[in-house]
Amino acid sequence: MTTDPAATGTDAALARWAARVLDGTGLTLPDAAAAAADPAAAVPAAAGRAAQALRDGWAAAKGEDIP
Amino acid sequence: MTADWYDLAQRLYAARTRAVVARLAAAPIPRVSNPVAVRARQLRAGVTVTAAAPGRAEATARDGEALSLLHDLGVRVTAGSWRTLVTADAATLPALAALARSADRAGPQADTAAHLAWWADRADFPGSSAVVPLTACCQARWVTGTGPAAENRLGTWLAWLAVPGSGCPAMIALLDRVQAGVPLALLEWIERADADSWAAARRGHDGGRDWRQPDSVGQAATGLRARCDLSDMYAAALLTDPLFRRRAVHTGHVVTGTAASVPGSKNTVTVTCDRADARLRAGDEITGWAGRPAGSPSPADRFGGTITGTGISAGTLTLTITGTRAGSTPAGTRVTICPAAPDPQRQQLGRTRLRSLYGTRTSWLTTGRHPAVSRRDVPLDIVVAAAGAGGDAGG
Repeated sequence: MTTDPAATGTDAALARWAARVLDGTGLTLPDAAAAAADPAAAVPAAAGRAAQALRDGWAAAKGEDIP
Repeated sequence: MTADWYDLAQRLYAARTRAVVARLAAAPIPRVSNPVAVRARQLRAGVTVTAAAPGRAEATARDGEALSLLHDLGVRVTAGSWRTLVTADAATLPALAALARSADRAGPQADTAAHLAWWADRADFPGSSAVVPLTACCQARWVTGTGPAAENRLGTWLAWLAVPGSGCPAMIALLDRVQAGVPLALLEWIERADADSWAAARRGHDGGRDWRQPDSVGQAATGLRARCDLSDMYAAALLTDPLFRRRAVHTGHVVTGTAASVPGSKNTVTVTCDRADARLRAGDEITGWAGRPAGSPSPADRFGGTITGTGISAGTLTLTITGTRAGSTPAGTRVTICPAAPDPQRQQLGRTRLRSLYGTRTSWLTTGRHPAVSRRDVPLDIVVAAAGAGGDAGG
């Protein structure tokens, strides 16, 4: 996986905040972006809860699964 | 809680699409009819106010002239209806309060000063149509593709929502975006409270009451109760929104799980929760329905009740719910549960009762005397129940 935050298209403020949010999950920002957008993306087992929340947030943002 | 990760994904999506993501499907404030956008600053030299209203150009004035400017924009407690303060920073309201205190008590701008004081009072009520904190309302309604701290700045929202212009006229245009669509359900109760408070402020002004006088103990107590009641109502209003409920699963305010019937009971159901971080506790009143959090069930499709038991086994939380139609939920049904909205009539009744207690001269609350101790025989079952409750608390 890439480790370059710029690859996710985020600005510095978001990258700094994301680093705090992801602290302890074992995920980098690009990992998180990949896990959010792709349910099939491989994530460490310890990051399972984070990946599930990321996917839910992404799906809600896309308007998926909202009757 | 997993809300930060949920939010991160939404921010990443907004960054990728370069468009805001909706947190709410409905507007977080009631429809505002008479907005006045204000930016005020208190400096050593005095209070400077910049203000604008729909159809009125932005103007800037200081001290007495600032009161005249606001007076001309209709900010008068003697007006037929209130003006809504639209503000985008934390410094404006304290500066306006200072401006109000500097006004002559019997001067021609006393009615404007009284309206400013009313704004300062109503600013404590979330969802109020008296004061709209613009950036907070934007944060309630959308999320941007940048860090949360940047969303405290008006410029961030003007840029992300492509609102042209700057200053107070841009704030009026941004307000139109924030209040577009249908307001959240239940906000009408907060608006009614605004109307009652406005009527009281007008009566007080007409009757010569000086708003600078501190509240009596009774007024302070009922004011605190009103703030608590309407904060609870706003929290319930947010839970009526399907997008908010979806996120609230990640904060523990909304619970999803699988229902199971309780043998021999028609009005009890147990729910095996998907997550163990629910905020619901025994004694909480709930509403629920078969389906997902983002569903919009009709009142007839909902069940209501009280959490009568909670338990954790092997990391799985189980809630026991007793109440109306709860037992009719088929076993194995996927359900969503959230706190029941407060009853506005019951809230109003509680405030009225509190006011009457503080208004009664013989009440121990108003006299300041401790109530006299009186002794009587207590039935044995009450003693046993009390001992049991004490034992539970201690264990």
